[in-house]
This record gives sequence, C-alpha cells and structure tokens, in this order.
Amino acid sequence: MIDVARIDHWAASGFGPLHRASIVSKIIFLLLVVSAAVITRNPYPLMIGYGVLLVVAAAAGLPWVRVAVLSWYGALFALLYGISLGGGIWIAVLFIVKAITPSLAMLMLIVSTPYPRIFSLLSVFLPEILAAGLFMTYRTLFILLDMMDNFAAAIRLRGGFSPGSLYKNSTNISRGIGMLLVRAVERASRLYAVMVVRGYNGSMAEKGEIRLQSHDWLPLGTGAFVLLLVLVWK
Amino acid sequence: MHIPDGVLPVWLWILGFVIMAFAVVFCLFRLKSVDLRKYVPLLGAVSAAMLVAMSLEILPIAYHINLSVVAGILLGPALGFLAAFITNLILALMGHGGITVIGLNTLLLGSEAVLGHTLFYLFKKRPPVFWRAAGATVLTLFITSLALIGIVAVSHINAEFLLHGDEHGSVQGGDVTVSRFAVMVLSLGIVGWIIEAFITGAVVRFISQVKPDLLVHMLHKEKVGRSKGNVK
Amino acid sequence: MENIVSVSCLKHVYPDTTEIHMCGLDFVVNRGERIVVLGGNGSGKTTLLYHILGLLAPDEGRVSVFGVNPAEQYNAVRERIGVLLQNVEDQILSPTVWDDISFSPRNYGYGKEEISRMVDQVMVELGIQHLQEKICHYLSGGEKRKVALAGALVMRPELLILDEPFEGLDSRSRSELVTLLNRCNREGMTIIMSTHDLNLVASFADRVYVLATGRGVVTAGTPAEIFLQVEALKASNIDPPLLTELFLKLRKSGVEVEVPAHMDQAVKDLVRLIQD
Repeated sequence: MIDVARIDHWAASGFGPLHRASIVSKIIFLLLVVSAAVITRNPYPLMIGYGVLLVVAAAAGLPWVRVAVLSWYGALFALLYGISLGGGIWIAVLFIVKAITPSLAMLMLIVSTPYPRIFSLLSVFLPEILAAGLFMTYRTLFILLDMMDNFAAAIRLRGGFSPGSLYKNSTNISRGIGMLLVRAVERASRLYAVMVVRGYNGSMAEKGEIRLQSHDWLPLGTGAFVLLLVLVWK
Repeated sequence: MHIPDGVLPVWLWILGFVIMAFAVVFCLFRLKSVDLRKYVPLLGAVSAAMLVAMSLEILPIAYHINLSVVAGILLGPALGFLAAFITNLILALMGHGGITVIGLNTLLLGSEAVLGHTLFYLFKKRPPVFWRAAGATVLTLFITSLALIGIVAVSHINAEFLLHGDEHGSVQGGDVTVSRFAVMVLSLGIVGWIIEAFITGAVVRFISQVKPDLLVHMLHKEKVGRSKGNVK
Repeated sequence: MENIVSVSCLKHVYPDTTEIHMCGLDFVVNRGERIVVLGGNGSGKTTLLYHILGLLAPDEGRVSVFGVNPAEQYNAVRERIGVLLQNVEDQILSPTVWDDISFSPRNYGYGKEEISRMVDQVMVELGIQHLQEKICHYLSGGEKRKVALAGALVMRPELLILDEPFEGLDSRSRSELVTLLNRCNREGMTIIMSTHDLNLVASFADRVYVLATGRGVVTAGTPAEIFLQVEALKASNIDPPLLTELFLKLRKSGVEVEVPAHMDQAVKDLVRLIQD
C-alpha cells in the first residue's frame, strides 16, 4: 500500500501551482486524462501525455520521481493482462500506458491535495452515510495502522515472525488482525458516544465548494492537452 | 481486480457504475429502519481494517488479503457492501486500481461481503466457527473469481478490437483469450483462496473467543431508544 | 446557589454483568463551582461522569443535569455541556484540526461566519492557530489534547466535564491547563473534573468528592477538609499529598501546626516555626 502518511505530508506541505489550484480543477484534470486513456488505441500520444504530466509535476514542485515510480504500480497487472490476451508487444505497451498515465494523474492529485479536502468535495455528491464513512475510515486508518505496527513489533520482538514459515506467520498475523478488529469495533462504540455528546447531526467535516480559481489553468490546461493529443493523433 | 483504466469497454464500466449505484440505493433502502448514524464509526472501523489488511504482506509469497468476508460477517450484507464501496473509493484515491473500474470493483468486493455473510450464517452452528468462516471464504472467492472471468468474457476483449476497433468489420468473441485468462485466475486464485480462508477462519475464531457478541448480527438486535452502554 | 447537577444512589449493571454501586453521599454541583472527583482505579469516576453525560442510564438511582434526566433528554442539554475525555484519540472525530473544532457548531446548525468566529476565538485562546489545517493524526499528544479541549470549549458550555485531563501531561502543560480552566471558571463555567492526582486539587477545586470502589461517594468537602481525612483517602487508594503527610507527622510529634492546603500556606507555617 502506498504510504498514506507520506502522501499526506506532500499534500499538506507544498506551495506550488498545483497545490494552490482548486480541487475541482484537479478532479477535472484527472477525468480528462482518464478519458484520454479510455479513448486511445494508439500508445504514442498517451506516452507523450505521460511525459507531459511528468514535466508538469516536476515544474509544480511535486516529488515527481517518487510519483513516477508509484505510477508504475499497475503496470505489472496491465502487462500480465495484455500477455494473457495475446496480440503481441503493442497490446502490452498499450495496456501499460493506459494503466500508468491515469495513475500518474491520480497521484498528482493526491500529492497536491490533502485527502480531507478531496472527501469534502465528494461529500457534496455522496449520501450522508457514505460521506461520513469516508471521513471516519480515513481517521481510523491511521489509528489502526499504528496498532498494527505496534502489534507487528511486539510479535517480532517475541520471535513470532520467521521467514519461510507461512503457517506461523499467517497464524500470528491472523491474531493481530483479530485483535485489530476487536479493538476497532470497541473503539467504534466509544466514538459513537462521543459523536452524540458533541452533537453529531450528519456533518463530519465542512463540505467542499465547487469553485474555480486563478491557478486552475495548469491542471485544466494539462488535462485538456493530453485529451486533445489523443483525439488528434489516432 | 487490478484492471487499469482504458481496458474494459466503456459500456461495461458504465454499467458497473449503474449497477453499483442501484446496489448502494438498495442497501440504503434495506437499512432505512436503522439509525445509520450509529453505524458510522463501525463502518469506518471495518473499512479501515480492510485497508490495513490489504497493506499486509503474507510472507514469503507477498499475497494481500482483503477481509471482505470478515466485513460481511461483522457488518451484515448491506453495511458490508457499503464498506466495500468506501474501501474501493479510497484505494482508487491512493492510486490502487483505476477510477473507471470502481463500480465493477465494488460489485466484486461487495459481493464477497454479501456472499461471505450469507454462507457463514447459512452453515449455522454445525461445523466449528473456523471451518464455517474458511469454507464461506473459499466458496465466496471461487464464485467471485467466476464473476471476474465472466466480466472479461462479456467484455469481448481481444487484441484486434483494442487496436483497430470496428475498422475490420467484426469483433472476435475472444474465446481463446478468455480461457487463458480463466486458467490464470483460477490456478493462481486457488493459492490465494486457501490463504485468505485460513486467515479469515483464524480471525473469526479469534473474535468468537474474545468477543463473541460481535458475531451476533448487530442489526438483528437493533432496538429503538438509547441502549445501555459498555463504558467503564 | 443553583443546583445544576445532582446524582443520588446510582446503580449500574454493565452488559458483562459487572455492577457499580454508588450509594454513599449525594453528588451535587452548584453553578460556578469547580468540582474534583477523586478516586482510585475502578472507583467509578468515569461511570459517574458518563451518567452525567447521559451516555449511561442508571438501573437505580437518580441523575439530574440542568433539571432533566440526561439519559432520556440529553438533546435538551447537550449544547450546554462540553466534555474532554481521558483518551483524546477517541474524542477527535474529524480529519483536520479546523474540522474537528468546528464539529459541534457545524452540527448544531450555526452559520459559516459564526462558526469561523467561534473557532478562531478558541484557537487563539489555546494558542493553536498554527495547527488549523493540520491533520489531527500527526499532532503530538499535547497538541491533540489542546485540539480536543478546543472542541469542548468552542460552544462556550455552561458545564465542562473533564475525565483525567492531566494524564500524560508534563508539569508545565498541567499548570497551563489549570490556569486556563480557572480562567474559564471566572467567566462563569462550572467545571467537573476527575483525577487521581491530589497535588493539583489544592490549586483548583472548590469542593472535592472522594469515591471508593463499591461505596460511591465516601466523603466530600473543601480540599483542606479532604486532605485531613487521610484514612478515607487511603481507603480509596489515594495517597494524601506529601505536604499533608509531612504536617500531620509534625503534629503527631507534638508540633503545633495547622495542616496547610497548599504550598504558600506551608511555607508561611514553616517560616513561622523556624523563627519561633
């Protein structure tokens, strides 16, 4: 799993043009790039699009090297999928660029926008239970990751992990997950009590605003360029 | 499923979103007699636990579990499906999996929660709880693997279509490629099902020993008004 | 004086059949008071506070907060009550600091500008304006506690309830918190706090209630009165302040001295003794 803490740090600590652009414009940027990946049957324009995204990421002060590496996460599956379908090297290449280009766009979004602001915008469209669930999941995720880290450290210190022993590791991990779930559910009941005391009436965080601003030219322009490239170069 | 954006036909992933939306609405309808706000923390807790589980590598083969069956057992089918949606949305927002396949991914993961719940409680109390959970997991993952193969078959993906579209007049059915994909999914999948079944069984057994009331479906016990707490 | 909280002869049975009996003295809080609830582990401090908050309903006994039964009519009084729990991780609900502090006013339907004013004001009071956009999880323990306290104070509650607020704080942070709470009290806030740290009681409490496991409130009074009841304190698993023990031993040794409630008085008495 991608290191959520690192992504949060990048998202919260940057000051470049993409950080200052509105969330709406960055989501439109993402949708434009995804559309380009969906439409294209030619790997070349999308390869150039990928390159353009990298240049924009670097110019905007994003951690472009790290982000580029992370964007290749889905490439292996795309490659295997392409191979399983047959059709030669170009199908595989096409699948790979279809995988990594939208992935890079998504990563550019999340390293320039704190997750809570993304969820705030989504909460405008989602039913209350799902919007609240998103915020609560995000909040709880860190606490459970810490719990799991502590448990893993405790197991390691007490000799519970051994390389090559699938049964032993699986058993210990299962106990850790079981304990995690029990504590998470107990915590959930305490949390509900706190929500009641604090007056919960459906709002976990401020809803996002659908509003463009001056720095939006960069994400909108980049996304439009990639899509245009794909439409023109068939 | 880690099929990226741009691979599946547009009609298929749009259909995935439409069916997912109907499923979400159906779940909310099923839950309308329940004070859903009370379950926000629980929904968040189980969704977060699923994400944490997905981050764990089961050494030495680096297989990732997803706890979808456990989520179904703890939350019930409707809330379990909603947890699957939240988990998939967050995964997509972390760069894992495409945006366009959120609908289909949610249908698959949500089906695992629903099926897992149904099979676990169908077995009632005859086998020990470990085997009930493990058995439910194997069957569930087998069925959803078939569903995944079905999605690929229905999509009629083949190389000529992807490269040239309608230019050559007809779209091949792609039977050979679907068979190849099916063999890959089922043969690799069996290993994953066994690992996931073992871990699910062990987790559910642990919960049954430490906090058995979690396995009594909470929504079956929903009462009107403030209930006595568990605070010390 | 207006009685805003009263609890009498409480009995509660938890789902795991554990019973809590608190049928000693009545627990009464008047408007404007600073009340400290002392007791060892398992004495029922948190149970008492949770009954006052309406999170638990008594099986027997009576609980009244602002004239209503909070377990049945909490909505009628919840805007008037702020709470700081022992484990602040359980209290912080929202992802960012601003979202969490604004949680209550937003859910009570306050307007955006009003919310902004309320949140800004409490952040300035607690010196946490710089944390506004931070994600709560990455804050230090002390910062989280301040954020949780800000969330409790943002509504300017008439009654503030704190469950072991000094746990994990260093001495400077403790004294800052006591200063803040005293200031809130001067502005009219009634405060109920549970703790097992006797050394802070003298600088804070108007009245102290001492709980003992299985017996509820065993004694009550001013800090000076409570400190003298050494046996009652020890029976509740509370060590009397060192200052109290020192002066009691001096008295036992024949020295004529009053037992001071706080350090300043102790210094005066010792200086007098030395000079005499």
